[in-house]
Amino acid sequence: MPEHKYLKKFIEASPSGDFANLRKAVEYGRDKCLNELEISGLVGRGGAGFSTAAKWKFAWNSPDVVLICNGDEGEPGSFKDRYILENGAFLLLEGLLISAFMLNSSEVYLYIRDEYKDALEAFHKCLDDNLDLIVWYCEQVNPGFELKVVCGGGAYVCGDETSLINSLEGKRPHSRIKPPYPAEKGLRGLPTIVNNVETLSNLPLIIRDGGEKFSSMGVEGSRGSKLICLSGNVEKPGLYEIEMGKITLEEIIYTLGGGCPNGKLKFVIPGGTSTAVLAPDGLKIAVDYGSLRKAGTSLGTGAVIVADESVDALDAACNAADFFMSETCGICFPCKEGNRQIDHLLNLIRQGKGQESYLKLIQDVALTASCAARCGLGQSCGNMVTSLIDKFRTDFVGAKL
Amino acid sequence: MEVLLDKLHKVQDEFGFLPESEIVRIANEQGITKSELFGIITFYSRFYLQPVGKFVIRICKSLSCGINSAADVRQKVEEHLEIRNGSSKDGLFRLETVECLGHCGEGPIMTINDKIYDKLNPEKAIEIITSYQHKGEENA
Repeated sequence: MPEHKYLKKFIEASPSGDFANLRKAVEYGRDKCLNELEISGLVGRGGAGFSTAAKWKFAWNSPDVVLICNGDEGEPGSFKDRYILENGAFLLLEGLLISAFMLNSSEVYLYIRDEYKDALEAFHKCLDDNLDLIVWYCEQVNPGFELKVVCGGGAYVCGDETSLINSLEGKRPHSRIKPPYPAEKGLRGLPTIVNNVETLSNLPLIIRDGGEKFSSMGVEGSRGSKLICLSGNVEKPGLYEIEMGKITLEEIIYTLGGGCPNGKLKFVIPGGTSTAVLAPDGLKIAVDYGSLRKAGTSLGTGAVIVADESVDALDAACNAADFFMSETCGICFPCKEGNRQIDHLLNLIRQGKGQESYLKLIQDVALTASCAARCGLGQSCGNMVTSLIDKFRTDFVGAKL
Repeated sequence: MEVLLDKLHKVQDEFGFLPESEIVRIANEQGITKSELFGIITFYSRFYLQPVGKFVIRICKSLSCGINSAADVRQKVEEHLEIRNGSSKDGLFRLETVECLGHCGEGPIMTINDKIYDKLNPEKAIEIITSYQHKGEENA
């Protein structure tokens, strides 16, 4: 895997046994820290791209805020959080401690998926290595602080913050209706802030360099850097860090990734299987939240999956449909039944038993789920399938209908 | 701050699955019914209600691995072990095809008891599994 230069810079800036950024944050006090966070323009890296400072402000004056770091990375194509946990656990730990200090939060969880055993081990080792400093933190900075590392049980939907909260409460981990948002009423009814691993790993850097310097990178609405997970039919897959808005998707695939090794590029998924695909004529697009949104898709988790012409669009659609059908939590009808129907209709087409009208039906069902489903899983489940139908209709109609 | 997931993992680490007597005990501790806890356990994909094979093989079927011919790997492994999504008769192996394991840049991916094997092709996968077969026979 290619070395991650910027991340390395992160880690070197705060070597184990130092906690310089945390000490600086404590010196600043929580209000000045929030000010820096606001200036930085940091938005959540888990997929939604919501302003971190705005989210925190909802709970800023509440006592007993619960902080949850979401490391339940399950989006197909995404492996950035695993990389941070395995190679930069200290960075995340410092980010967590800074965030807990800022939010006055003594109840903190790090929820890591069960599949990430090496990541769990690396983080536990980091905790052991820094025990003295954590004791100092508990005694001097955040009395009563407790950090609990929780290992998931294997459920993609726990990446949704409300499902994750149900999972921590020992309930069946299905999603909750929002509002109330977790920042208002989350774990056991307490105000709860849920942030992604990559998001919180930016905190030490913002404190170290100041919000202004952080916001000098990137473009409006997408400040700072973003980890990109490159996979699929590409010469040099791996993790890359980019400055948002300053590099195109085409450059990521060809300049960083070396292009497709065995054929012509057919389509690209820019942010994991929850996002709409782009055809080769749509790749000259800056990689940032706003530009991709304008193009009808999303930066998502930054999981760029490249498919060459050997990949049949119908096969890819079936793969995504099967995924969402098995991973829906089953609590809200549009997602539970919608995904079952999309999968069923696509399989009929694949077996040569389909009709062209099915394509319109699939798009209607997906649209219904996107409007009516409770959580991000249901709202985004049809993006990939419908965009494949739009852009590669012949793969669906072709010999099969 | 012990949460339910901790308790389930602890039991599964000890027994290899979640025996009914333990489910009853944990349900009582949690103050929920046995059936409610059953509903929670079966929601997750990584808890088992019965003993599974000594070596749990998981092959990723998600898109990035799929694009890199994970299906060929899976098919060969199925043929080799003569099982599809289940346990072998000798109790040595359990085979599962699973969703993304988070090593998408190194696919196709397989894990055996959580050890990662990457950049697989069918031959390499069979070679690895054969080494586990030998290990199993030695310890039998």
